[in-house]
Amino acid sequence: MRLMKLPTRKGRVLVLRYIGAGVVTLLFLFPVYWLFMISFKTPDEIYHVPPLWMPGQIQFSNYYVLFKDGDVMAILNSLIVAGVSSAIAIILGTLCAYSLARFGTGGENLAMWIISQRMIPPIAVVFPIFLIYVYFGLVDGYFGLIVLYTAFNLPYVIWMMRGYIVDVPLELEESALVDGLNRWQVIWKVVFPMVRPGLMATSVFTFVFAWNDFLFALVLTRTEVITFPVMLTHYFGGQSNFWAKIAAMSVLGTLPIFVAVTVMQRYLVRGISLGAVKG
Amino acid sequence: MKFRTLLGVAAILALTGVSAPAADKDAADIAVEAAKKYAGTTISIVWEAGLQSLDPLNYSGPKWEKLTGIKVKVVEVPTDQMFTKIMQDFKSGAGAYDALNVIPSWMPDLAGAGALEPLDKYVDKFGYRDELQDIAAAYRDNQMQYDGKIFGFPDDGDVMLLYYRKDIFEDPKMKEGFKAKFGYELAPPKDWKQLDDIGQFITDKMAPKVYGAGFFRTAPYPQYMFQERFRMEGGKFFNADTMKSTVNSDVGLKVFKQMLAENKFMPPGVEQWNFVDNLAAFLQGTTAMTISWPPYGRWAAGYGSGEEALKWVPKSQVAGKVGYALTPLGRPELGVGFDLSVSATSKNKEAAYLFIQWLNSKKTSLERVQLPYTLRDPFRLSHYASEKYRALWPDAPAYLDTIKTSGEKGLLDLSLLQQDKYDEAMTKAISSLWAGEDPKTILDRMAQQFDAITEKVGIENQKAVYKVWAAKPGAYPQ
Repeated sequence: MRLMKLPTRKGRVLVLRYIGAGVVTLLFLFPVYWLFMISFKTPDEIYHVPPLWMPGQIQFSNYYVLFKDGDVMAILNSLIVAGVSSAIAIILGTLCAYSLARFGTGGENLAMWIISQRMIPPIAVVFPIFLIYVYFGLVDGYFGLIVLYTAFNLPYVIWMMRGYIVDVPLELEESALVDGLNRWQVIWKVVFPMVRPGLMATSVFTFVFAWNDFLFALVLTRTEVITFPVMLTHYFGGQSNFWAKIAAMSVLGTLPIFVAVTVMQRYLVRGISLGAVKG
Repeated sequence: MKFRTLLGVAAILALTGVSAPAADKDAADIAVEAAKKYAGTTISIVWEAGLQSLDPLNYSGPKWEKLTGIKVKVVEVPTDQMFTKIMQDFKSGAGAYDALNVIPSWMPDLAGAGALEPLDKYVDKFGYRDELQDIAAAYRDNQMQYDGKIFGFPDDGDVMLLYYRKDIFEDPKMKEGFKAKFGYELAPPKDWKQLDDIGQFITDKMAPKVYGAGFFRTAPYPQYMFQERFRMEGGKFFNADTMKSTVNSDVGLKVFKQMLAENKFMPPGVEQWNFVDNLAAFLQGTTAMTISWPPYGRWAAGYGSGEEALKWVPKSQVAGKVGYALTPLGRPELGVGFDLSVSATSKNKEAAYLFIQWLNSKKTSLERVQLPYTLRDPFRLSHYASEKYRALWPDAPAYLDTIKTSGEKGLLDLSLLQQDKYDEAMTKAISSLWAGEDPKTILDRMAQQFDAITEKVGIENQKAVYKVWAAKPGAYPQ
């Protein structure tokens, strides 16, 4: 009989690493697992002592209620404001970044000044913004939130995209210009394909910022454009906590981000690493 | 018939003829009739998010629209953000809110700042003064006015009740064993020492299946329990002359130590329990005693258990087994509560007023406090006496009688300028207590925070507000 070969020291270290990584992964994934499980449980199962790892049977009534009561409109509102504001910020921000990178617009320090705007704590400006919005009648509307998130995301987009665009070899653009393309065509046909990973990564981050924002959405909305994070707070009453709704809504609210990150994963990793080496 | 007699008869007939329709109309009808001229408009009302808001969303809002043609837009706001949202709207002059739900202890801040519309002229114009007299004195005399003017209609009979398991308390073996050990009858506790005896006894006998008691312990709930117990043990929040806080007195220390010690006979992890955790434990029969607001009593009896909106509440395993009593020492906290008010910046003040008069009226409020899914508790004498309400479940008469007595004996929440900051200081202190910090250190810090808030508000300003509050019959036990 042949004895099993003992792993080498290197092999043992690798096994330990995998075990460690597995434990950490389980630890981080546990809240997600618990969230999903609660969303399928009945009230009695949610409050069962000791806690139940799995519901007796998978049932979707907690989700059905969200659709029946119209609560999912909050997800749609979030999709609209986060999606539109991200798209606008990406388009405007990339053009600004191109101008900074290629024409040196504003001199050496403009880029730094722009990114510094992103460092303002939102709480410091939320009430002045609220007063301005009240004056212009922008409270509780899509337009107001889209403008705000675009404004907050623009510095980030400009800063990130400037770094990616600087990386694009100037010679490529010059060749394209010599071949007869105008500047817009160069941006569209040469620069955009080259910076696509960075563009995707930046889009995901801007979308996530707008999607997750609570403070501005809380202050600047009332009834018409309630976004997903604000909607969640509606389920916490002084004398009631709708855990089933909280869990189901949280799952629905997590899905768009999950899908976005999954779809763009390959761009995301590359985009982040590209940005990491350029300022 | 003599001319004078004829004249008299004619006068009587004329008077009856004229006044009969008016006499037939109650405050709800008057509000509906008067509001019809605003048909087609929309009014907004700020309401606590969660279960509370189902009242205007599912019941009163649609009904009001059907009766008057006025649409009601419900602005749902979590409790801890209501004050900020209301003040924010007022300070900005946005006028986005017409009617408001206001926690009575905020009245000095909101009415003092001018954020609330004085309601006296509307009350007289729309004949509501008589029906206000039906509101239980504890709420009417303490939670309706500020500086002699009406700023809100008390609309929720919040008060703490003691709930206990009758089946356990009446079990012959338990009774016998308890009397043998402590020398007095097993019955709802009259003081906190008795609560400790009973709680520990039941835990010793029945845990882990049933524990002696369970209380909500996470913010902001236990601060109401602290306020009640502190005053009932003889504590005063401030020195009335200097406005220096005296919460760190020996009384404060005694109450903190008692509260901490109680956790020992409660289920493990009770320090993390909120309103719903505590409710779930009681409904599932895990705890034999608890103290909470009136909805526990209704839901424990299984009232409304078939309602879609109450599906989040675990099914009661203790229906028919729950008794109701005053909290130990007999002066329960009138914790929180809600007033209906009109925003001073509303563009539809009269329409908003008429809506809240209709909501708060004898007729409509009786319907609302019987909605199984709302959290509005009986607050009118006519609610307590309502035959319809008293027939809702077998123990409903005892439930209503206990609420009534508790309300009559109730202690008011502390209500000062910037009350939310004092509340926050108390809440943080209690969280530190559960975290294991030294009670005396916590109380000293809380007193310092109280003093800092008072100094910021202005000692003389606050002293004047405190004097008014402390003079109310429900402020300190007499």
